[in-house]
Amino acid sequence: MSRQTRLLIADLASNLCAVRRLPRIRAMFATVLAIGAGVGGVCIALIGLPRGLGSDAFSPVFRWVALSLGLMASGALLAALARAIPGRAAAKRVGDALAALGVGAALWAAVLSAIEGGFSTESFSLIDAAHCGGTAVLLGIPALFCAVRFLRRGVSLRPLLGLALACLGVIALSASAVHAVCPSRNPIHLLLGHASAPILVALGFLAGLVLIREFRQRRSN
Amino acid sequence: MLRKRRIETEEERLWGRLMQAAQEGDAAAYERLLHEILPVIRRHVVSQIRGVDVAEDVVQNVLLSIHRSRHTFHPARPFAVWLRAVTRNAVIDSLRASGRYDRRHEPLERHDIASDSEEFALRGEALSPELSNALDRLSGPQRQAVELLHIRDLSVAEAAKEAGVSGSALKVRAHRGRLALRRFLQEQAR
Repeated sequence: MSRQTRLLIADLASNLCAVRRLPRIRAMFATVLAIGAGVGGVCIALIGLPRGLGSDAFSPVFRWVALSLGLMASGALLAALARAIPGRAAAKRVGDALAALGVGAALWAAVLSAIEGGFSTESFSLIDAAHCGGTAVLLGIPALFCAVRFLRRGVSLRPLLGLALACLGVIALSASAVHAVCPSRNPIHLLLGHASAPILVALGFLAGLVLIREFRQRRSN
Repeated sequence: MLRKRRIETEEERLWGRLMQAAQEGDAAAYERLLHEILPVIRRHVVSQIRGVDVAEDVVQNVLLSIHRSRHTFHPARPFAVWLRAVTRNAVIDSLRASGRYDRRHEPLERHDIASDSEEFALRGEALSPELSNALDRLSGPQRQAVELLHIRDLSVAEAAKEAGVSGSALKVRAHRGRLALRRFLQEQAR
């Protein structure tokens, strides 16, 4: 052992202080999920479920979008939290797989709509789709705040990717509440305003974080 | 196909208990743990990094990473898996940084500056032009850390307070600053 290393060890030990352990993944996951589900539940309670949801729930596109949002929410959140803790590679892989399946389910919903000839623009409004997406983002802010606090305490090799995945998971969770209360059944609206919103927001979030990092690096240079 | 779960050895379970004690502030347990895992860390690092001097720098970076991320270890999880992940991440970080780092460096001979914290004392002495130039090349935070700890000779607590960061963060900055200074001085020596 070199003298420098010996001194470093002595230095680290001499100034040691107690630390507050990061919660386990399941606890962090449950906390974020509870906040997201709570906010979504309040939204559903206030707005109420649309009439005819029972029959619409069996519509293929509606079901696949709902499945997609559920998979993206659970998978992306798990992948993000697992990345913050060293040695949780298995959990990270499971999360990545679930999130990928969620994106795949959204794509399959789009394919199904195309096959069934359901891309009708008659009742589609881009403003309504943006409204649903924006609502999902607003509803997801409390849970995102909680997830970011956990991630900042963790140690990740790719912190920006972790944050983007957390954004994807949380927005997908709140989008599922929007999906439940939204009266529109137009397939394009469901795909753009509900299923795509988490993905687009997460990509935008990641791009924004990368730009901020580049700006800071240039400033410090 | 399920992966076979590796059985944790008694030694690894002991390390887990030592880390748990370190999380509660037990300095003796922490120091013992770091000494005991050092050969394991060095084996991982040497298998991936060329050059003994560079490997030792990376080993020190791994120790700092362990120190910074000790709060992420949970006693119910295997310590060896956590240690391997922290080591791997620190090695990857070092390899990323090594794109700007010339591995074919020679041991420092021209200057009296040692890179360990105790000997790196420049208190009040006139800085050579080479050292001044090298200090100017450091990033702001690293230069501040080196100046506070080694030129103004403040204690870690005092320096951390002045810099507005935690003691651990300041020590990491100072350590990286010392490594960078050594690199710059070697470049100037060629």
